[in-house]
Amino acid sequence: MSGDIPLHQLQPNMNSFSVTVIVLDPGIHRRTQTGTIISMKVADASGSINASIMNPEFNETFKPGDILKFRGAYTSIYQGGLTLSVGKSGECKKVGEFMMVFSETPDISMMPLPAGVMDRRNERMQSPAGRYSRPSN
Amino acid sequence: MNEQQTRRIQKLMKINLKCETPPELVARLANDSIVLDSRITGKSDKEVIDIMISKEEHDVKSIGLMYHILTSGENPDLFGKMIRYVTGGGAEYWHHVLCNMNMILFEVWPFLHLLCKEQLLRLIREAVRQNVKQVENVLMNAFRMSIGSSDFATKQRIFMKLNSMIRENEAWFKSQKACAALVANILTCTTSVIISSPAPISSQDTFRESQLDLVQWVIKSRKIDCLTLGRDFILILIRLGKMPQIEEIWKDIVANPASFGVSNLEEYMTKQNVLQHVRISIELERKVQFMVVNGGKNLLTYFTWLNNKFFRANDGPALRAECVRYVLSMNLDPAKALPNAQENRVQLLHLLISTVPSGPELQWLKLCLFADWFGCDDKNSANLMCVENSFSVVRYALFLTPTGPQQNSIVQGSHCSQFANSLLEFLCKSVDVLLPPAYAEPIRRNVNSAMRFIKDRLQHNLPQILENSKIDRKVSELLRNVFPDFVRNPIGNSSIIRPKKKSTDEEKAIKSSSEPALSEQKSTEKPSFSTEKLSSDSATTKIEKEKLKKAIEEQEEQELNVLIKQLQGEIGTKIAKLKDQWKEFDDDADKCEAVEGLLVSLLTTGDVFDESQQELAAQCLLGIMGSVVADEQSLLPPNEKDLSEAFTHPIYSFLKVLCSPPDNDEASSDVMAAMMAAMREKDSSLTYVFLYFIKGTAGGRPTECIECYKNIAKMSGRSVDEMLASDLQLCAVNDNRLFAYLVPFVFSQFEEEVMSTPALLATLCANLDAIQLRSFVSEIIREEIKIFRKESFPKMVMDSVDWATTPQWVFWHLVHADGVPIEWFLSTIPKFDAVGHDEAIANILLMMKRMDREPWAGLIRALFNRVPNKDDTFTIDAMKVLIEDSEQCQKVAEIVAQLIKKLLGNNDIIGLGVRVHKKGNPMKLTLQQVLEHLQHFSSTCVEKKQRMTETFMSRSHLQEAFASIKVNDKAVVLVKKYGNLFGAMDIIAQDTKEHSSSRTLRGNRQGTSAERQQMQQMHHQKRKPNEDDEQNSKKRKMHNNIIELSDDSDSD
Repeated sequence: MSGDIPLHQLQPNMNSFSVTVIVLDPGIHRRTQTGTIISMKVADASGSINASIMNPEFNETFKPGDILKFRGAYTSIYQGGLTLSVGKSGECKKVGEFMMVFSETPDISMMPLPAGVMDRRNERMQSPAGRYSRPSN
Repeated sequence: MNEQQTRRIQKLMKINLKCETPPELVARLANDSIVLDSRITGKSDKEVIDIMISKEEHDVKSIGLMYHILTSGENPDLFGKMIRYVTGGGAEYWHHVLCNMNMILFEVWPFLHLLCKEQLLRLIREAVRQNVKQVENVLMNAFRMSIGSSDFATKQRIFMKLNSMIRENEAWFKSQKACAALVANILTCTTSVIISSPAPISSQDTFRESQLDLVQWVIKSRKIDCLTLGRDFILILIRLGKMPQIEEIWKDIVANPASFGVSNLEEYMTKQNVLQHVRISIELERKVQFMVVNGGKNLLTYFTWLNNKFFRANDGPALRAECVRYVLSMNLDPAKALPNAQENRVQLLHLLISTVPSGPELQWLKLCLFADWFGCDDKNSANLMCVENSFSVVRYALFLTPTGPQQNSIVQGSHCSQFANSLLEFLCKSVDVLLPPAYAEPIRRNVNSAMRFIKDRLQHNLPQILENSKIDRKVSELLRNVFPDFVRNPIGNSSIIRPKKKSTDEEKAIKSSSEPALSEQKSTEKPSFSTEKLSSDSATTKIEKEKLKKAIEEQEEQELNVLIKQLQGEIGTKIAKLKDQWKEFDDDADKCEAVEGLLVSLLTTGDVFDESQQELAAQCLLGIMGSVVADEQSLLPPNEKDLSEAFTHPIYSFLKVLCSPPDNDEASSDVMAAMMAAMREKDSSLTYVFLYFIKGTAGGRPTECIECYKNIAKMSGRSVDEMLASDLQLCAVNDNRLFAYLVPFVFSQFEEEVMSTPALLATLCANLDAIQLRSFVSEIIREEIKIFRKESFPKMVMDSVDWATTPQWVFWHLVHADGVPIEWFLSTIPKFDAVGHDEAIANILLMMKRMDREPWAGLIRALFNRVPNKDDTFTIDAMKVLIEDSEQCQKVAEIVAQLIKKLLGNNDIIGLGVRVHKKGNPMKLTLQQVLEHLQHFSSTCVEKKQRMTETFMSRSHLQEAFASIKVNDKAVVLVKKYGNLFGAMDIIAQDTKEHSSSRTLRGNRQGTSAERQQMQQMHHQKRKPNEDDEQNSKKRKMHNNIIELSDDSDSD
């Protein structure tokens, strides 16, 4: 897609789009089983959302007020909320600071998900069949 | 972006290209430099210049050139080559370069490496040196950008370079005709840096002084251009306070205002700063503008980010002040600005000021906020636009509702209405103290003009602010005094009282920022001055001492010569010979041998050696040998146990012969004693040196030497104890260590003399320190020293009461250590003065309290022998102490009763202070005197917690004694006179009797039969209320009598 998308237009399972946001809470590097992740709170004029960067460089640190441009980003469901993510195929770069109008509300990550969309982890947990259950005859 | 571009970008700024996008201009600098290199590689200078000045892709080439200039810090040849290219391009090309320099300053200055910044300053210096047109504009922007975000060390370094650039090109600076903006920026920015700089801590730290010198020089060189700053120029002078360089400017502007383009100082305050828009860096300016235009509900969040970046360092307060002045005068385009831009501006001002901790910086920010009020003039309408914003801050603070604590909120806990009150209070108080008193009235007029303008703008809304209920009463009164036309008076109070003109906290706070630096400078200068003074004083003292010493030596030499001439015969010849040989002796041993030889010859001479000759010879010897006592040096060696090398002075040879004369001849002993006495007349320290010699050398035979000492005292016409006291006193003054060494020896070897006279004890008590006292007490406890004797103790005590307090305390320590019993004080107790002998009385009371025997008749009689006096509480205190124990109380009662009966029997009834006509005129005790003391005792010591006095007075023996007084015909007068005492005795006796009878009746009833017991119990219960009432009634009567007794006693 060409051009930046406002945050309030994000939907689950979107990918390869660009957004320009301002950092509200830079978060910290957190280790996971597959590497490290940064979770941040970002916003633009249309709202705010949680963002995560997979396997960042050790010196990729941002400060509140930094303006970031995400390219090749995608959306995912994490802890029941919509999350802006960027992986190996995308990039996140600082393009400026301070000079961006933002709005903390609405918090898109706290909004209810559209009908039919569920967190995969929750879906697995709610399945009545277990690993050792036999198919019914 | 290829690798070459990446390397070039990283040479300009620190950046991680993986997660950051470089600014557009930085990328352009790197890219265009590559293009330029491809075109000029391998070409000559002339060809390069031709390429540079061609119109084709002119911007690309000039920007590429700038890259090479910025990155040539480590390559001077490259920088020189680039300068040649620019110079070869002519004035037009310099214009392009200047435009690029401004663009770099505005866009990427904060991101550049320090080395690149220095290269840019170097280029500016080159342009100034070549007198390029309009370079002052670039220099002005360089000053602006330098006060922006940066670490302070870097900022100092850049300002040092800017300073040197100006001073190196003074002629260029003075020749500029239109550089008012540059002057304004130099003063504003340099002042900001000076305030932010810490005080210098070493002489090498000259940054602050050099910047101050620059400010002073710029003001003196461009006085007229300072007018561009308007009232901000006065703020600069106030901010720099009492710096010596600025004081001269103050004097100049007051004495010669015409040179600054104004008629007086007040006119300067009415001038507006026309260059407010260029006083802060571009980066900060853009962010402030963004907040004002687009802040909205997120203004607090933006301010938090701004505060974290700009206002937390040392230069934070100075930057705040600059921002306040900028925001107040910032122009908002009505067409582009949002409706809430004005409100954002007010809120931003409020945040800038209210988030500063209270102190001098806060006071300075308030002055920046209201500076336009003090210069508001009706004649100039441009001045009026700034005052509204200041008043809007007060309105905003007054009506702002405090919100709950917010996470990460930097205004948490801010008291908005309190802040509004502080702003108004500052405004009112500053009217009289901002400038000298002569300008107070114009300032007052100006602030009223400002308020009139506000009233025209707000109309009916103004009273809602000035008379708001949230404004404190104190502040309201101040407002009423300063703005009488705008604040209504309370009903019934029509008079207006102006506040007194005096220094306020605001004035002190404004000036206090510069005072620490001055104080530190003064404090650093003071020690060196003091040291020099002390060294010069000591040098002078040494010189004077040497001169005085020489004069004394010459005088002594003359006296010695005169004495030698008076000696007759062989004696004079021998002494003269000794005097001549004395200087040739190098060793003390030789001197000692010579002295011994002389003494032996004198004692065995056949010539006439009478008393006068002995005296003369002794004085001659003393003159030759000199004194052994040296100033500030103890005779006692550091190791007191090793005295083998202590007695090397020739005087000790004399003392040795004195103690052990040749052949132990008594006549020789007498001669030596006489000579010693004569020598002591001249040098009184010799005898305590003799005591030292005795202790140090006598070993087990001190008796013979002590006899010599006593003979010397006899020859001197003094008693032994007098001479001992005199010697120890002198020793205590000259040599305290030796004093401590000699005291135990003296008190153990001269026991008889010590115990017989108080003079020696007085000397001891006056000179003992704590360590010596402890040591002395230890020796007393170990029974190695005995000080007091019963026969002489009363005399010692009575002498001690005239000593100073501290020696008396030492004396009483020794009394307690020696275990003196209370019996030794019987003859002195009646003689103590209640007013002047406090130390003695206090200690005797303590001894009575610790007394380990029962009171006896002699002690009681001694107490009653004191002449009664209302102010004297010794006797009654002693009685109180003695009756504390119940057994002792009984004993005392018996003794007093016996004393009363004895006095009645002897008919010693009437009289106070009667003395017997006998030898010594002793005191005669009378019954009246005893009753006087007892009445004083009863009136003072009854109704105490333990009621021991009542117990004492209820004793049967005492009651019987008082009964016998009543029946005695001769004592009727006393019964009437001391009716209160007898009445108290009767009351106490009756009370005691009733208590005993009640107990007896209760005991008799316990043995009856069961039925009678029940009946009696019933009767007892019935009688119980009556008994309680009777007892209460008796107690009230007794209490009333006691009260009456007290009243009567007071009337007496």
